[in-house]
Amino acid sequence: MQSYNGIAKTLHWLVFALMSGAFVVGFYMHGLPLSPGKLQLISWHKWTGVTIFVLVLLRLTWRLMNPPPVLPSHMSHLERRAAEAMHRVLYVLMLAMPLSGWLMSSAKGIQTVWFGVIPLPDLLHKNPPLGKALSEVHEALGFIILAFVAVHVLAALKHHLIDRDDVLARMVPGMKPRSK
Amino acid sequence: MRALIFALALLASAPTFAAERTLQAAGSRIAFAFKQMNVSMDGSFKKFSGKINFDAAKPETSSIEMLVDVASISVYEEADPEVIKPIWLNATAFPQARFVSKSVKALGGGRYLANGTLSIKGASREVAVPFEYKEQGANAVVDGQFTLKRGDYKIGEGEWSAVDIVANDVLVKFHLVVGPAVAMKR
Repeated sequence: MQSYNGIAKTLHWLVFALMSGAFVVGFYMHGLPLSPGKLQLISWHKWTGVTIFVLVLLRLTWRLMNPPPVLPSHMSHLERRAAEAMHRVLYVLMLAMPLSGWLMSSAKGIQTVWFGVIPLPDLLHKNPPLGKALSEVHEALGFIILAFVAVHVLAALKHHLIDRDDVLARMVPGMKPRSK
Repeated sequence: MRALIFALALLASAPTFAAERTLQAAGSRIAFAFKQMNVSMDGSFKKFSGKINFDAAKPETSSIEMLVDVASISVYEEADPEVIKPIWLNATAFPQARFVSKSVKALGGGRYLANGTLSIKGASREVAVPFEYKEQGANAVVDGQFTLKRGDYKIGEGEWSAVDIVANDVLVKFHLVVGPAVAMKR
C-alpha cells in the first residue's frame, strides 16, 4: 500500500505540533491577568496561528499536486464519503481558526505582526463589540477543532487496531505497512 | 468717524491685551501611539481642557495650559481598566496630566515651538512641543506631536518597567480647535 510522501507527512505533523502548542498556550493565557508575560504569550500564539495558516495553505497546494494515496479496498462507499468529508472539515477548521483570530485582532485594534516583523493587513476596522464576539467564535472553534481532531485520531486508531489496515501507517513516519 | 476713532483706540490699546482662546472639545483630539511587541498601538484621551494665549505675531508673549483627565484614556478593551491603576497612570492619586508653557518661539512657516513642563503622575519634565498654528475664521487650529518616555513618569512600574514588551517611547499627537479669542487684560 502506498504511503503519503515525505513532504505531506512533515507538513501534517508540523501542523499538528503547532496546533497543539497554539491550543495549550491559547487555553492557558486566556484567564491570565494582563502582564508582560501574557502579551508575550499572545504574540507567540498569534505568530503560531499565522504560521499554521500558511502551512495549511501549503498543505492544500501540495495535496492538489500530489493526490493522497487511495483508501483501502475494504472501506464501504459510506465510509469513503465520511473520510473525505472529515478531511474537508478539518482543512476548513484549520483555516477558519487562524482567520478568526486574525479578524478578532483587527476588530480589537491590535494588529498582527508576524514574528514582530511582517505586519498583516487589518481585515476589519477597530470595533470592540465585534472583537468580543469574534473572540467567542475563536474560542468555540478551538473546542470544535479539539472534537474533530479526537474523531480523526479515533478513526485512525480504528483503522489500525480494528480494521488492521495501513491507513495510520501511511501517515506515521517510520511505520511499516503490514500488507505486502 | 466715531467708529474709526473707536477702532483706532482699540488698535492702540491692543498691546496691553492678550487674546485668550479656550479649547473646544468638539473637533479636538489628543491621541498617542506606542509599540507593543513591535505592533503599533493607538490610544486617545476623551476628556481634556486648555487655554491658549497666543499671538502669532508675538509668540514669545504666549502662555499655554493644557489639562488632560487621565482616567478618560482609551487604548484597547483589555488595557483600559489596567492603565488607570497605580502601576500605570494612577488616575485616582493623579487625575490630571498638565502641560504649561510660557515660552513659545517661532520656527517659521507657521510652525512654533513651545518649551514647557509636562507633569504626569506627580513627575515633571521639561519638554519641547513643536506645533502648527492656523486661524480658521474666528477659531484657531493647533496641530503637533512630540515624544515622551513613559519611564520618565513611571508609567508602567514593576514588571512593566522593562521596555521590551511595551516600548518606552510614546508619541503624543494633538489636534486642537480653540475658540474665538477673548481679550483679557494682562
